[in-house]
Amino acid sequence: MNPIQRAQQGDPDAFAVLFEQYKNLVYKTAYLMLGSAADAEDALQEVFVRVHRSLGDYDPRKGAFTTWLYRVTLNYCLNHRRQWRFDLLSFNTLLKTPAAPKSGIDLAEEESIRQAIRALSDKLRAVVVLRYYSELSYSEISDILNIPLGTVKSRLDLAMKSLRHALAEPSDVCNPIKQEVYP
Amino acid sequence: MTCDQPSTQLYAFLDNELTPPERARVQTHLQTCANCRVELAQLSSLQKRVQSTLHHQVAAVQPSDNAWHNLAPRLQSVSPLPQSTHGGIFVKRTLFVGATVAVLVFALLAVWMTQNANPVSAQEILDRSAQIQQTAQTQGGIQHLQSKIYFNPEAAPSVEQTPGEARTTLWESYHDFANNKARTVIRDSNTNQITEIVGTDGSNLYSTKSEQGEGAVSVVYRTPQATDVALPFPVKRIDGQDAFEQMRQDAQNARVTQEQWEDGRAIYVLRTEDANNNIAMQNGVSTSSAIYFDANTYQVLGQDSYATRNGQTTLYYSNRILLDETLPADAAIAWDLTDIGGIRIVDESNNNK
Repeated sequence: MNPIQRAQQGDPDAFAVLFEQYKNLVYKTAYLMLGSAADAEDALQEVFVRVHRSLGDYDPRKGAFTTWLYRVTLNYCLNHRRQWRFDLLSFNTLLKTPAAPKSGIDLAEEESIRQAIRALSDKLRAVVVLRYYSELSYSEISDILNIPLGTVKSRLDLAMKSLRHALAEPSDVCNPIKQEVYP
Repeated sequence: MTCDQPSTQLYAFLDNELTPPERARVQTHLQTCANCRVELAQLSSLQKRVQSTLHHQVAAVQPSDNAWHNLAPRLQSVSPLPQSTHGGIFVKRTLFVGATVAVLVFALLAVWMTQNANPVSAQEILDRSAQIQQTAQTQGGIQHLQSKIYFNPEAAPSVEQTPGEARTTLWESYHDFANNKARTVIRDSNTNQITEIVGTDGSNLYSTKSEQGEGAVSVVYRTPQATDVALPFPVKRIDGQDAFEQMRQDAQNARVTQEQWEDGRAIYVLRTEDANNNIAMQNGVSTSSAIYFDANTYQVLGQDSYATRNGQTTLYYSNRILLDETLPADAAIAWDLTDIGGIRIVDESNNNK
């Protein structure tokens, strides 16, 4: 019997094993979604409380445990009020961002990309994180976010267009970013 | 695919999320459209930069040391809900699909249990098959593959597939990896008319126009090609780019049975539910695949893929490998397509240069 099955039967040691095994997945996903270590730490606690409460819902015949765990994590993040958005992000900051170099990765460019990702709406950022950090397939993302496959594609397309616009034309970044930050 | 709205298709192309015919169409289009090649390169660069940034962003962060210490006391006051007594999403989906799926699963289980227990694991079969494929590719000869492929676009699980009638086509491909040469000719199995050609003689790319993909073609466009590029057309024995490697990585989810092939020889069958990365349900559609291997040589013999909607299972892709051989390195292959009758080769300048 694996730790998930044992945890489902109430074995506290097995739940500790699950926490140790998956804490980084939850924490790092939440960090990318919420933007701060403090929020990610809160998310880690709340997600595992929910996992403990709802582990009986998980049916291994219907999908991987990580898929279910991602869903719980993203549900928390998408419903969480993100104070950082209003505290740290300003159009002035974005407008002062230097133009990204045309090739190669350097610190200035990474910072530009980070800010552009943070400026995306939650829904767009979720598909970007799941696809390009977690490296999940479109169908997995569809399942986790409970959206049609076509919506995954259109959100990725919109997200990448926004990022491209923000990185290639920083002086003209107000409109799309404004639209995403204050939907 | 049209040039005025290529990005969704190009992202899906980069992400290996297209069906084989969709992918072939995009590949064919890319041979002749300099704008889309530039667009593809830019999208690929952006994807890599985003990926790299996200990984760097969290490389050094981790939960605090006392995370479990903080969590454990809270768990004591949070009782787990009784298993399956409240509506999680999986439970809801199970109810949605209902008894049909239960009956199907039971039937599949019953069939599976009647098969002989197999001492060879899915991982071993996939590894051995990968090994002979790799050996064939590196030993220096020319790989020659003939396949018969059935595809029903309307039954396929992809949401944005192109509507169209089910077709059976005959594919014949040659690959010379040592010299960066390849060609694939696709014919309609009923009329024997050529429906698509793609290839390279090392100096030129050959392709039919994407809009001609559904019917017979008579014009092949020849475009100058840089000589130092890697061969852009992999040998594909099963559906999907890198599908074989993905299956190897996910071998624990494949079930193995030993059965008899259509000609009576012993084969291994690897069956996977929801071949698209273990996701059982997407928009009410589930998928399953069976891949057939020769039990002695571990060569891939074919594949069947099914989609189930509303309890009805439909075959949407079927591949039978008719011939899989390695020819001598000096075998005479007309990489410039001059041996193919009924076609006209038209030179196109490469607008991207």
